[in-house]
Amino acid sequence: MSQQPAVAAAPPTAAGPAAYGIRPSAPAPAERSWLRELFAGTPGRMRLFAALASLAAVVFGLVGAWTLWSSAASLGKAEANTTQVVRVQAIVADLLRADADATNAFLVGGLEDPAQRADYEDAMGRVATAIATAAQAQPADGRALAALNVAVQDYAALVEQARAYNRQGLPVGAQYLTTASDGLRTTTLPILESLRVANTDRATGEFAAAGGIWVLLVVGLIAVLAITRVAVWLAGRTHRRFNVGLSAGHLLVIAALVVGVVILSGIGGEVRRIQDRQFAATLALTTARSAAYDARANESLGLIARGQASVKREPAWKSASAEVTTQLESLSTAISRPAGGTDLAAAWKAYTVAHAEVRALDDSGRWDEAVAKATAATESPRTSFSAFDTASATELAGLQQALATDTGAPTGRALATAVAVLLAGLAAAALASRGIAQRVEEYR
Amino acid sequence: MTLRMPRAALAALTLAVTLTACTSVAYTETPVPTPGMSAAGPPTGVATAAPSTPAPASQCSPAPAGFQATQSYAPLAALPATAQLTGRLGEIRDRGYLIAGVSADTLLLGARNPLTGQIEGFDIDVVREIARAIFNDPNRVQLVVINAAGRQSALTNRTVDVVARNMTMTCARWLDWPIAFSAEYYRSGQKVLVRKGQEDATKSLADLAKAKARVCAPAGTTSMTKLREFEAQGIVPVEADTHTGCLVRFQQGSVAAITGDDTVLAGLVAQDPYGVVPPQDAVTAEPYGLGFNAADKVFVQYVNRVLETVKADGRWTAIYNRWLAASLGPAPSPPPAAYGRA
Repeated sequence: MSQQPAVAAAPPTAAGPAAYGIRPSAPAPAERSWLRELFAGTPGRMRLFAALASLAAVVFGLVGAWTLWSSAASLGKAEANTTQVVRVQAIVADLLRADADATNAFLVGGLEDPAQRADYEDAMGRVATAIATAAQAQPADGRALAALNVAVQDYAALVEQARAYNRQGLPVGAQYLTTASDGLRTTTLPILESLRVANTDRATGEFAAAGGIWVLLVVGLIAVLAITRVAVWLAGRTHRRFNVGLSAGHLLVIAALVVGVVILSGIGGEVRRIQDRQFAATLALTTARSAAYDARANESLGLIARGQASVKREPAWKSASAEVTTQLESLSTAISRPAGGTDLAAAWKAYTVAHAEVRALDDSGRWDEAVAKATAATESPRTSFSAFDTASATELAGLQQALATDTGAPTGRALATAVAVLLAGLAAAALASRGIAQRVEEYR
Repeated sequence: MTLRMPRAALAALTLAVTLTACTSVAYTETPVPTPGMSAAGPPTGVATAAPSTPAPASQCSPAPAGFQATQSYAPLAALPATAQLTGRLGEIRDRGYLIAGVSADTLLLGARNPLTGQIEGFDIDVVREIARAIFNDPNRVQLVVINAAGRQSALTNRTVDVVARNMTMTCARWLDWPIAFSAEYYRSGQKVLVRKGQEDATKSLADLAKAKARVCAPAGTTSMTKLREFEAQGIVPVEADTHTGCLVRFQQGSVAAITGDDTVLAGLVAQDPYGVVPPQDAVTAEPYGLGFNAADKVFVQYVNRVLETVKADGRWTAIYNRWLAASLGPAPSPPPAAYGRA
């Protein structure tokens, strides 16, 4: 009995099995005789098997706890990655919003609407903050965000130059503005797209890792089989069918394995639902909002490129508007939208009707009237666009909150189960070694 | 038999450690897309290569014997009354306004005044004289903004009745596009605009070629055609959508000079005091004509009569003085018209 605790408490490290190896490579003579004595005869074998059963239970407890803990960690990382995706999409939306403001304000000449100017400033301010936050959140995005920062500064500088010239009544101002808008689309947005793809891939990878049951299952089954083998051997030696301690430990390991697998597969199903629903819906809505601002900016750019809207800007408007419609459909497919909420598709449709009226005016040569309609603060398209903007922003805030809540719940469950499995493994090890130790005593 | 257990345990541990290693890899860095151009760069590519599509066989290389690009159709003997107008002119009268393709960013010739929202300039006032003749109202004009490269299609597709956009009369435009021109209404010439301080060292395309300078001209213009002739001598031609696009490149330092008609360059200098058009001989003569669909011969003859009247009664000089005198000096006598085209 005096030597027994030393065996049970042996550290279950990677070096552990080697310490219990039957043929240690080069043991000192003194140590060899001590080991021989310890494992000699039937009591020795019993001690060895007790150690094996305990080791199996402890390894199971550790690996199981680690699997569940890393599932929780993956969920946390997945949530961080989806937050980064949403952040990136918000930058896209804010940049295009700023561009829509700048281009629309430009149409009325040097005297901009102060409210529109303030909206531009706010959007660019949010972009700057979001880039800093994003850089802090994901070091792997650092280089891309640095490039983004440069591109955004270039854009802002060109817009300011355009404003300065515009206030002096010089046509080169319009050229600076279109240069800014085109640069935004050819240089800045591709960087943001790269960021979106990278972070979406990271989130998908973590979501997949969070629901992985294989490590737990394989290690658990090996532990159960190992303890079964020890129990069978013991039954043969002692002519008693069950050893109470060993059996209790055995059952404990099986129970912990079942609970762990059930919890993990539950988490797996849950994250798939989150990915298919809240995450997909959030992405769809942020993309729809970006496309909406893009469309609105192209409406103004079409009027600025007087007489040539049909060449480039109107096709760009059409593809952006189609993207809004497509993404709103994906949104409706992904989640059941809150009853009583604004029908976003109808809100967008209202804007497209007003846009068509602007285009009809411009295309029939009534450019001044088209501009007056496109820029009037109390008339559609500006009012209908702003209605869509407000309604979609409200819905997006709700979706983001739901996404955070829904990833938070399984994280807590995974952590709690991790602790339970670890305790079960340690308890099973203690029970097994104690149970076998009683049989060893019978040989004294 | 007893050896199996430790091995199984060892295998389980190895598996666990391996899987740990697999799942805890750091993320790979987000790739930065390589942009086609700098964020500050103008949208059009820096096209130094010749146009990708080979030019169709030209009837102008060489030009037919005795071909004169400035030669237009003889003017009508007198302007018919509005009610008597037929054909294309009748359609315009019935529509109620003239549709003119113009520039909105060539200061002094045709540019949108951001303060008023109106397009104004020398070319615009010439178009208004045509509207005055047809409708007795210079404001019965719809101005459609086109860029230089869009002039041909605007006329051949009849999206406009007339193009008044500092367009040089050339053989290729007469025969290859094909379009018709009015009599010459302005004589310009291609010059270079350089950075202030460089006006002594570089005052011609030849000087710029020696310096292997990057020089900007709008795509699809005679200026660009001439510029490419200096490519072999070292000039790097850079393309933009418009001359104003060239000014943006010039201000951003991506080109050292801009080449174009002196009228256009005067408009650029008016927007940037650090651009200078040094005293120089024009490298080309650029006779401007109003462009028409090739089938609108009578319309052209009608407009030629209008131009004769405008040049004779002092309105041409008044328009010149209003827009160009401040930049280019006092008005010369209007360019003489050449007629006799069959």
